[in-house]
Amino acid sequence: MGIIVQGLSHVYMAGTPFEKKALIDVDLTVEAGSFVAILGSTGSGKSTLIQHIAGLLRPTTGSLRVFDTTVDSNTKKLAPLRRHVGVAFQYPEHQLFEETVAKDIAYGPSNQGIVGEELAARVRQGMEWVGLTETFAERSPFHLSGGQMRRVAIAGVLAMEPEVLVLDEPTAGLDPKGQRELLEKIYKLHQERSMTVILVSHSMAEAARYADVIHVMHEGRRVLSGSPVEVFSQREKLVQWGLELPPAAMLGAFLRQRLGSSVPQDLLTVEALEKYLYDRWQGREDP
Amino acid sequence: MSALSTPVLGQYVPGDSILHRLDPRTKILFIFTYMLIVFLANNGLTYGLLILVTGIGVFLSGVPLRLILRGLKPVFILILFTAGLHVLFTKGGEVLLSLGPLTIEEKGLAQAGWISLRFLLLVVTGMLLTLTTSSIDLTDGMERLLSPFRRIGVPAHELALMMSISLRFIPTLWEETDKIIKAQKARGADFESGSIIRRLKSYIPVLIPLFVSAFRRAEELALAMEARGYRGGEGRTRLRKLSFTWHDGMAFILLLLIILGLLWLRNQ
Repeated sequence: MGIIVQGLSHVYMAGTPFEKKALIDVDLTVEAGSFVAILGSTGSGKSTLIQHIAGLLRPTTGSLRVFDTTVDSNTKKLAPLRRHVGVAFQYPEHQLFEETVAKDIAYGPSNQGIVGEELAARVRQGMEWVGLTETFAERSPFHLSGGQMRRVAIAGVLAMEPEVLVLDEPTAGLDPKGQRELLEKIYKLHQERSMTVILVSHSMAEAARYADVIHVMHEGRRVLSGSPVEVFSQREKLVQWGLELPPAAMLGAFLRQRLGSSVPQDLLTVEALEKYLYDRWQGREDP
Repeated sequence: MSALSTPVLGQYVPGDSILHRLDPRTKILFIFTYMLIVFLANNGLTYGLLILVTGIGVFLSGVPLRLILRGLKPVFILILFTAGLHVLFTKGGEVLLSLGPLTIEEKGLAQAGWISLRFLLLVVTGMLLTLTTSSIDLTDGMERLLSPFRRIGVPAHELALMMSISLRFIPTLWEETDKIIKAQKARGADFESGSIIRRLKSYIPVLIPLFVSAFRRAEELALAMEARGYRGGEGRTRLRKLSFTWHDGMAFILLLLIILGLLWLRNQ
């Protein structure tokens, strides 16, 4: 189960002078219930990849399976894929259109055929998950702050109760507090409901903190996969692909240069690094 | 179907052909005159000449024929429609087929053929202009051509600016539309089934965000232009100067020859 991508390639505008190979022979597996981060510089094919998973693009070659639905270049209808997958694109607040927050959140679930009391419950649930209080329900989504609009948009996706949640840079343009709160809420949902989450991000720190597995994309290919510790031990390669280490790991790497290899490689978050430094300081020998 | 996978009708194809290098003013004047003289054609010889000229134009542009044919696809529907009307309703000559009150007559068939051909020639030459001229060149050319009329109150610069902004934002809004359609599809929107009314209604969740974003973009653009000191066309200098070369002279001579040829051949 989960998501299996096999030999997936995608070419935009094939057969014209504007032809562009966006994905080249990508193999990838996402375990059901895991939290996966996809990293890559701009134009690496991340967005194209998640559009396939979300059932919005048809593979040029190759296939992918999401739970019990398989899609390849011959598949006529992609809609069955979308049953499993909810996706919030970059700046999802740009898709809001209804008069009130509640109506906008209800759009997705009502397209699924949910009506009446259950629909109202879904809307309430969606708002609660992203931390919007009841008072927002009857307000116009166009008169909210950027961060609130983002939450409304993500609530609209969550209210569909997807098995897989795909987030394309959900924190872009939010202030640090908003970024942190949003991801914490998503992470909590992932843990409580064992919802599969695919996070596309430019933030190494976000990937290091939340992901079980990281996939790195570069120029349309999947070039590296593994746990955060494995991926972030490949500093030279990451830099070559236009990425870097998370801040804490960067500091760890500098300390390793100074203090020798006794500094472990798995200090990816500020908390882990702080704990290590504190313990080391506690156990130091007085000169 | 993703919007990104279908090039827009007549979208500029960068290149270095003779047509690309012609001064945009030459191309605009040539095409406009050409569109007028297409109506001079009245027999096989004159249409033959026009087809030859258009064919040479397509060949010189270096744009793959496949791309032009693909761009013509939506136009074919219109051509078929008008041809159909002519076949059914233009009367005269021998009756070829009659089905109850409907008759298909000789003149109708001929008229349908000529009209379709004329239409096709107009569209292909029009496309050649936009296929080989970047939108900057196009609006520069327009502005320069209109500037003599400023004295009688034609706002040449403003018209050109409006045109270049619209052209500039077509692909942007196109991408935006694609993005919003995808986002709403991901939320279970169905644009393909149901009655006409239902289908039109299903586009509301696309149109509203599109308008909101268009207004936002317009506001941002106005602000950015003001921040960079834009204050209208008065006293504005230009970075790129247009200049005629001997190629342009050749083009105008060619145009004259075509007109003379048409006038001669139509009486043959």
